[in-house]
Amino acid sequence: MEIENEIKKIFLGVFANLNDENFDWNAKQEDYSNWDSFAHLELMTDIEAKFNIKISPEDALSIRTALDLSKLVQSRI
Amino acid sequence: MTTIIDYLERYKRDSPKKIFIQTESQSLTFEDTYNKVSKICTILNQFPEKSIISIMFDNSTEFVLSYLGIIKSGRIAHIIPPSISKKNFLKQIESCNPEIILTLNKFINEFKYVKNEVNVIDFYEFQKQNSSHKENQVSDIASLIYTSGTTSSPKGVPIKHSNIIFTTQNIVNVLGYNNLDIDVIPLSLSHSFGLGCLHTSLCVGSTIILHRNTMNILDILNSIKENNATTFAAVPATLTSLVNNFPEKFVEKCNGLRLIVTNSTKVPKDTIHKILHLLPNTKFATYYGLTEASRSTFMIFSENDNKEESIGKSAPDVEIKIEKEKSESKKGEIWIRGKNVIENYWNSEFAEKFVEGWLKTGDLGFLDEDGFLYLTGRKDHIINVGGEKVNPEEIENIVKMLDSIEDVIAMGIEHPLFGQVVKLLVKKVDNKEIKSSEIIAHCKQNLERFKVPMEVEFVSDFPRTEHGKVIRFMLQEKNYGNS
Repeated sequence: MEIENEIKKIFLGVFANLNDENFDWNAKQEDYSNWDSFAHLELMTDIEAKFNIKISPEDALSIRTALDLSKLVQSRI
Repeated sequence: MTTIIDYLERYKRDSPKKIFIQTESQSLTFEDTYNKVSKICTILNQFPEKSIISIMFDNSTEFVLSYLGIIKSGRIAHIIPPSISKKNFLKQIESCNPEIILTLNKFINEFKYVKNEVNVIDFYEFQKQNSSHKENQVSDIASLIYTSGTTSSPKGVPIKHSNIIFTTQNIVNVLGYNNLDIDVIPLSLSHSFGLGCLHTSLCVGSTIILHRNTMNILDILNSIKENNATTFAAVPATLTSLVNNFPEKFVEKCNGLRLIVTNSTKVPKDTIHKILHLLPNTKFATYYGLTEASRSTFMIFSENDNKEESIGKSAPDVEIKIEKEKSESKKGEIWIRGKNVIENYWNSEFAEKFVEGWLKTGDLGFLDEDGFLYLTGRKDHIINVGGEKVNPEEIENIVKMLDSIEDVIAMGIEHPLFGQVVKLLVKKVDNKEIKSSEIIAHCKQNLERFKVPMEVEFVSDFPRTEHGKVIRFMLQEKNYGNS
């Protein structure tokens, strides 16, 4: 639960238009108007720093939803 | 007057059942495309001739159909990238005053606040409106795209049909596009690079495999292989990421490509060497251009040894000269003249940028003895983030809205993937506290993503002239940019 809260917090930080009401764990990259390569890089670096893990380029590219990222983090710690 | 609609009519007649555009969810033949474009054209007849119609879509068939529909109707397509900030959106709308903004429901929600001022409508709702047939006078101008200006106002770039036809013919002739090509395009159609690729495919009657963006690089690689693609257009950051992280997959999926083309952001030397080594039978090319002067040079790396640092030779019938401040100097500002160059900016603003048909680009560079052009920097302080031009003053004005900030400078610092990213040097108001995360959060609220600083450094003051003006070049020399 704590991991999920932290991941959600990072998403709300990266995407300024997200809030508690419209945040959706299953929303895909293409559902966001602003999930571009800059946002993706920021997400990955924020997650790496927060959880002290290293995300490989291949893993980074497999992330399509907030839920994907949550599963990846949970499998690493 | 020849327009790209003439190309569409030709292939609707000669190859009606051939696929023109394929996306993840949809494919359209030339005949389908023509019929849908004609429908949109007739609905647009409710608006005055030669008027402006804005479109805001990500890469999709809706983008292509709306864009071509507007052009077929003789009106002007104002192209708004969906990543635009609210502030710039309002500035653009105020500058060009469109009749309507065509978009999708998912974008309408983000721009609710302007709905009362301009008619923003969903593409599918629009298609239900009444249509009428009539012959329209055709505007000389096909499209209007705004770019970062050297002042805080964006510059409107009106692109004529004649500019498009000239540039497209040059691309086809230099890079050898033909109707057997299958072109994978993950570039935004809202920018000159992606839009030029669309024009090229339409000109030769090839098939476009259109991706929404470059985010899912591995999907794009699979798409290249599965669709037997022959050409692939991508920004340098995508190519660098591919050859550094997935060299084996890159070879496996891309060895059938006859051409890879990238654009004017300097391509890292290492990336060029890796691509030439990994795909020795593939032509690898780049070009230099601005929205105002698209494809002004072409560089084919695979055919020119020891010129990796160059951005190529001038395109056919395009002139390039270096305007030097001192005659003995090798470097100077790059000026461009040719039929690819616009005549003026929207509303005739920034007239000082044109001299006798020459466009003063603001880019600095030099020509070598063989006529190859090299970029060395900018005359102004524009930052180039992955090919997106960023005016530091725009970022600074946003940051200065915060009470705790006394002064701020935005500058470009080197980045391995994007070439440059934005860094802020911030002087706080005495006795006030603010965290870098708060500044960045404020920037995210008010700026496009690529303009948001990657780094914030707090400083006690900046080097200044005796009149108190900050001396920007001294900041670069002080190595703030390399921290």
